[in-house]
Amino acid sequence: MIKIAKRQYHVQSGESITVSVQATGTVHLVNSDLDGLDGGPLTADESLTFKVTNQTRTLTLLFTFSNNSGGEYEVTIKGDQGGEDTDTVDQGSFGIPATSAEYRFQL
Amino acid sequence: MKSKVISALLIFVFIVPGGIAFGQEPQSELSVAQLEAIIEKMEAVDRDPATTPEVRKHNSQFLKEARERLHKLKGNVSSLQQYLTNFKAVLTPAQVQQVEAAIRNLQRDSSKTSTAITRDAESNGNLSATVTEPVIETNSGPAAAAVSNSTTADGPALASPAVATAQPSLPVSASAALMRTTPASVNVPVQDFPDPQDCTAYAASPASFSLYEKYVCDLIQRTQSNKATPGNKLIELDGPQGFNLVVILMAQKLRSTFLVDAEETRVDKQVGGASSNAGSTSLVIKGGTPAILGLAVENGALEREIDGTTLTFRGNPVGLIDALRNKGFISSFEDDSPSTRLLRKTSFAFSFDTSRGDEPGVFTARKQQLSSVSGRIEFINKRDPRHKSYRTDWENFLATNAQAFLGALVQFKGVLSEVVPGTGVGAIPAQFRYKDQALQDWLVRTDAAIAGAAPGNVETVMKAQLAKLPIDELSEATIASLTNVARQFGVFIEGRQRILDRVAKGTIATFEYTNKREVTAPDTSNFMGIYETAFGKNVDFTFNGALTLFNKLPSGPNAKRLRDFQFAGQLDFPFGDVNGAGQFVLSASGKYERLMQFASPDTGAVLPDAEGDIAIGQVKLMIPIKGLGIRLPLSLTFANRTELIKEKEVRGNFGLTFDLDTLFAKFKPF
Repeated sequence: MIKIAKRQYHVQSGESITVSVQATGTVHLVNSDLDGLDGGPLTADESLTFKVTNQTRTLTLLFTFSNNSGGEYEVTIKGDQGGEDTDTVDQGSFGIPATSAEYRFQL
Repeated sequence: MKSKVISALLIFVFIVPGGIAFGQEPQSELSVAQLEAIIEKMEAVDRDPATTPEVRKHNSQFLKEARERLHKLKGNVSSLQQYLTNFKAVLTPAQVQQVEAAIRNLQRDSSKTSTAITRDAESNGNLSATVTEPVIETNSGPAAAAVSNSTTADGPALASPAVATAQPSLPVSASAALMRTTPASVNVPVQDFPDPQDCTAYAASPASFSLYEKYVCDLIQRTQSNKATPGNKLIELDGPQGFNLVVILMAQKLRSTFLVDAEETRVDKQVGGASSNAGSTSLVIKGGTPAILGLAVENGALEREIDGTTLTFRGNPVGLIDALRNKGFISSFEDDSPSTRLLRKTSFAFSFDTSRGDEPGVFTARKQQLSSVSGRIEFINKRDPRHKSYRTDWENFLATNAQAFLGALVQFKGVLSEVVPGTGVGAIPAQFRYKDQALQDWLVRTDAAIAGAAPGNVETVMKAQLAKLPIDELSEATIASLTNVARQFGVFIEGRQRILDRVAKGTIATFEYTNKREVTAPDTSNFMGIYETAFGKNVDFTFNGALTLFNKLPSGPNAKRLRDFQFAGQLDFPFGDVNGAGQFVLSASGKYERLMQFASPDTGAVLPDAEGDIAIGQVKLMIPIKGLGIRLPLSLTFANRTELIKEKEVRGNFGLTFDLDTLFAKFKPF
């Protein structure tokens, strides 16, 4: 897995991607959606693993903040062919309750 | 009348420099370049911080209409040009001429619509004038203007280099013409969506910010951050900024109350000093503490007969250390290690009685004025959303409300935006764009405006751009999907808030130790338990139980170490409009104290035979001063006696409290 832009990765066909999220300053409240077809809550002690075979895959994560300030999520993305990236999604300074980010894995 | 004056002013601004008078007949067409020049000038007016809200409102409307015209003009012309490019080789010369004529005719039609409509001054409150033809005036004078208006034998020329490089005085009557582009736009009221508040005001008054305003400010902050980081795209549709724009679209288009109304405030912070301090207006001590430093200056007297001024500094060690490290208020909460969490449960306070010392009445912060030192630890805090009591609630929320919202969001983004695929092989990233052309055009213009803005002007520019979001040009499919995602977002917000409401009613149990330093009388140690909970819709209940010991056994017959014990309770009823004057808090409290032996006023004298029961009741109104982090407490206290005098007493107090969290954040918000 090679990072080609912010939240965008070039992966090998058949490569397995593992995504995990750590929360700071908030209850761990993360939901996932993979290609609009699959998804569910992603808890602190589990990771999400999927394969990229013959088409681009898009993972959308919804980050909910339980507090009015200071929440932050660190998303760690690893490919089983090598390569790792982290993306930090913070709450900013204005007490937003939630935000989202899309991660693209293309061949 | 006012709007007429404003409109007239706009017309004057745009027309006079061009030297054009009303009443002329239209003679030529507005070209793409001319329209772009109009838009550029209007955008400059819009960006100008000196532009008044009234002028901005009208200018925004005109600008919107200008863009609509330009968009339509460009779309029609470009589609025909594209057709001509694709098929020129196979078309006959006559067919080519026919398409070229159609292009010119379209341009003519577009301009004609701009000159034909006269607005009804009475029904719309704006001007009524016969629209004249725009003239581009260059530095070269009328000759150049003539060039810009030149036409070919078949009609008006497309934008020529001369026109494109001209510095047009604002197209003139075109600005008036733009107001009346189509009959439909005439009947559409001027967009009255409230301007978002100044983002720097958030720190001082977060509760007055609606969700919409929070997302606007978040978008601005992230855009500022991207602008400051070379290589970053200014607006990333695939990240939090894209989410911000979805919420902003929801708010502007659908105006749901959950997005545009402000939220409630919390009432559990103790800023003032303890009731035993001279001049305190607090009969009951509350469980929460300010995160960084609360400075309370309270005037008047409560339990003692001596009037004085007590300054109390109450703080959290983590917050204070972070502040000293010059960390921003918000980022100071980022460290979440177990030791830091433990430290966050603690707080300290120093109280200074300014009536003491060499300079009575002057705060010197010398040891003589230090009247008490206290430490506090929270051992139960169910007002933390991370408390295990709420785990199941959060899990259910994630599985239902949050997941449904995410599904709707993904679906909406599929309708709203599209991806221009990249390739992994060439490391070419995908590009994101809006499907709605008007929205995409807005994004491109916004990106350019932000890129050209000074870093300190990003907020102004972004807000000006958000006021121009083409919400009336969204496709039916986009609106339907937006409505769906807004509904799910409403359920999501409600579900989250329901849990947070439970959290807000959670129990706080705190232990506090206070070492009270007397002038000549024996120093005392006070041990207090504080219990706080909530019930009903928004009623907060606080209970204190305490006992006080002399640090040294006093001299005299029958002297005991136990000075007193006491119980107190308080009910807080918040009320008022957080969007208006702010939220008031009405409190009713009562206190019972058993004084075991002599009393010791600050004069240092010891009053024997003071033992007995003291009952005190108090009604207090906390008046907020919005945006300044200052609250004004007014209280009325009834007592059967005081520690020093065994007579009934009724006393009124007033004070002033500052929450430095608010003030600190105001000056260093990020």
